[in-house]
Amino acid sequence: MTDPILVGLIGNRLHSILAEQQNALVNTAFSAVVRESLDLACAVFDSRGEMIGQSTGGTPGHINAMATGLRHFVAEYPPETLEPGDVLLTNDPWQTAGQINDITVATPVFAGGRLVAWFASCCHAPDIGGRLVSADATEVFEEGLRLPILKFLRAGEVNAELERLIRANVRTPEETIGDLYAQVAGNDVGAASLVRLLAEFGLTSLDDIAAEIMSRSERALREAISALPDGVYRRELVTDGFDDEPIVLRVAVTVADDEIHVDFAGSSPQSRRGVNVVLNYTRAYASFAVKAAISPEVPHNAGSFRPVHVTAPEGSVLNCLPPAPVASRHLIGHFLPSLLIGALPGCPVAPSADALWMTIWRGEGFMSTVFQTGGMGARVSRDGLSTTGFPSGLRSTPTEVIETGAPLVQGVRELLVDSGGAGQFRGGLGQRTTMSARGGMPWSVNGNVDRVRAAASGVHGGSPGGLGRFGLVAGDDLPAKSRVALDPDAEVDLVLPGGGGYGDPRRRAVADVLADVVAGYVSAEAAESVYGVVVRYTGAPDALVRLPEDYEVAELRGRD
Amino acid sequence: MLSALGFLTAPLAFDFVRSARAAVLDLSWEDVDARFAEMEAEGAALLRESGVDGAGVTHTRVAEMRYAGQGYEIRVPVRASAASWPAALVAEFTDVYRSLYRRSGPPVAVEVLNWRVVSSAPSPEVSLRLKDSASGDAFGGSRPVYFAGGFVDTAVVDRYRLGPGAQVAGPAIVQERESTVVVPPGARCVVRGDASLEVSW
Repeated sequence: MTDPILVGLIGNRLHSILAEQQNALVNTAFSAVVRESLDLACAVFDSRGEMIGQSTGGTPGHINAMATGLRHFVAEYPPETLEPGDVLLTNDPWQTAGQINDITVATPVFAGGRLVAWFASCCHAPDIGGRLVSADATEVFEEGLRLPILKFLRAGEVNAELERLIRANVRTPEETIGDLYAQVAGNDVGAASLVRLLAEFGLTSLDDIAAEIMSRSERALREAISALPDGVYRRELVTDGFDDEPIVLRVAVTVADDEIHVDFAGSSPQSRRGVNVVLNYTRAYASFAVKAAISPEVPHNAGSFRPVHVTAPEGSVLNCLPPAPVASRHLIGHFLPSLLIGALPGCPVAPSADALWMTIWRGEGFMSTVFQTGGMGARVSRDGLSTTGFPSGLRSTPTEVIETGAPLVQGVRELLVDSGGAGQFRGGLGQRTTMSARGGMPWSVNGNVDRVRAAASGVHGGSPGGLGRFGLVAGDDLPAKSRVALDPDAEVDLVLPGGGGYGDPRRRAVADVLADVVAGYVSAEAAESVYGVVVRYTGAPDALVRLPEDYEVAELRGRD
Repeated sequence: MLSALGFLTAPLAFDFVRSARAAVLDLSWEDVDARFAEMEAEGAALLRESGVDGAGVTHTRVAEMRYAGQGYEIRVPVRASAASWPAALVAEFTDVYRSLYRRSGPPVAVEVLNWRVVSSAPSPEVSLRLKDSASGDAFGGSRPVYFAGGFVDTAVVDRYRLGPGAQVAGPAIVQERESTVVVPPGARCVVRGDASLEVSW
């Protein structure tokens, strides 16, 4: 029997050690993708590769893909093939995070001559060669340099030949290699603190305590599942897909006693373009959705996966087979939480903008990856958050970072009025931004975007969120998920989609409708026609600030 | 503000910072030294105006540095001279970086973003003593407390009744309204003249 107080102490201490790991990684990272948008995950594992805990701030697709992917490292390199100071890496999409840009770096931790634990992190490399992130490729081989599980460090020394090989294959050698060094440093900082922790408590192994930490989370999740009514719950969701081929995602969620089985049978077959999702990434977002929906406060670790079973037919878009192209897999994977939460009884969150918008801008002498986020869906008792990366948890790239890192100019960046789906609780707003380039040279963009055709639907009488747009300002739409050449003076319009609304808009509190009009989130026209509330401004027309008391409000008939 | 007492007893000091981004290898010692000297002159003047005798004033030079391409800086003391520039600063950066992140970064240039000077007056002579000496028996009772693997019967001590010179042997808990001090088994706690507690083991 493991000492329960020790389990609590070690669990809490591991949590702060994981914060140290993530801070060291972010503070030493080179790419804006990692240090500004936090496209990363950090975690600690027991000697068998079972995840004990994660840092806060990681993205679910990375955390959960590591949680179920580290076993490949452990299988490939048994303890007798490793020594202190060794560091492994891979970006194999099927074994880890489903995209060749996402590199997992894993460091075995030794104490008293034995392998006692692993620290690992997964980060999105700013470039890994290939065609730049888009769905253009028809095989994974076109998408960049694929690295099987290899030793990046041997006994503390960087594998110089591997470093040269990576440098020679990527457009951003200093950033890609610099981020790998940062991942190594983060793991090292975590490992050093863990070794001190073991010495402090006189422990020679972490495994027994780790097993109890996992069992506690497993038990808590099983209890939460037991509270759901048994049954089979189904849902379907349509995404833009590639070209004019929409992709349909179908789920059947079977709740039986204290277990959940999530099955994606009936979803579209794998695409000939790079929006395909490997099963490890499908499992990552499906498990995240179940846990986020029913027991978000329970510490997340390998135990959280045990009561959740995820299946998808081989060869489908959610369980693609090699050599399928996978670079833009998040444009499908990020929809899974909305799909699953929508299937669960009560549907506590309306669909969101869902897919992170990742645009890659390339011109002579620069290459810049920009993240942008649309609106979150409205929740069961609250409005959705505006321009918030749900479910990815990723942050939009700040304008200052975009404009100092490349000759790019973001001319407009403003919340878009009426883009949040109307409802008793309103969906989060999307955003309108524009991008142009300085220097009068030809440039290109890869628009990894979605919901420019299929909006986030509303639920329980709520309205859909606003559609996104990817095109030229005052010009044509541009093809999504492909590399597009741009004229030197082109100005690109990027309108982020809004989240869906929850409940009948005519039941929205009058004070909330007024507040939205005052804030510029909802127009006076929409307040009247959609919400049934007439809002009239009575203050000075040239006032710098319009205060709530400068408005008159009247309810139309037909409101509850 | 963490400590009002600390605010009253800390030495008077002024911080100066200039932002000027440059790779270390592109800078001459003369320019760097002149920039620091300018801030130090400002600091000395401000301290003089604040009534501090010039004799005991000290200046600390710091550069906020990173590998070119990173987003966060670390603070590195600048102790270089004309003879050791720029190798000494790069070496100092690498040492601080290693102590924080356990290894040096990739082979790229090292750059400075901000230059700082802290100009400080000498620490004031401060001696504190208790206004009223404590009275009564501080050693009131005991309770079981969990230490490394088991419960130990532990003395509970009332800090308000501990006078200067009093000694507490661990395991013990020194309690007061604002805080609690745990004295682990094997440790010793001594009350100093200003009523602060010194725990050693």
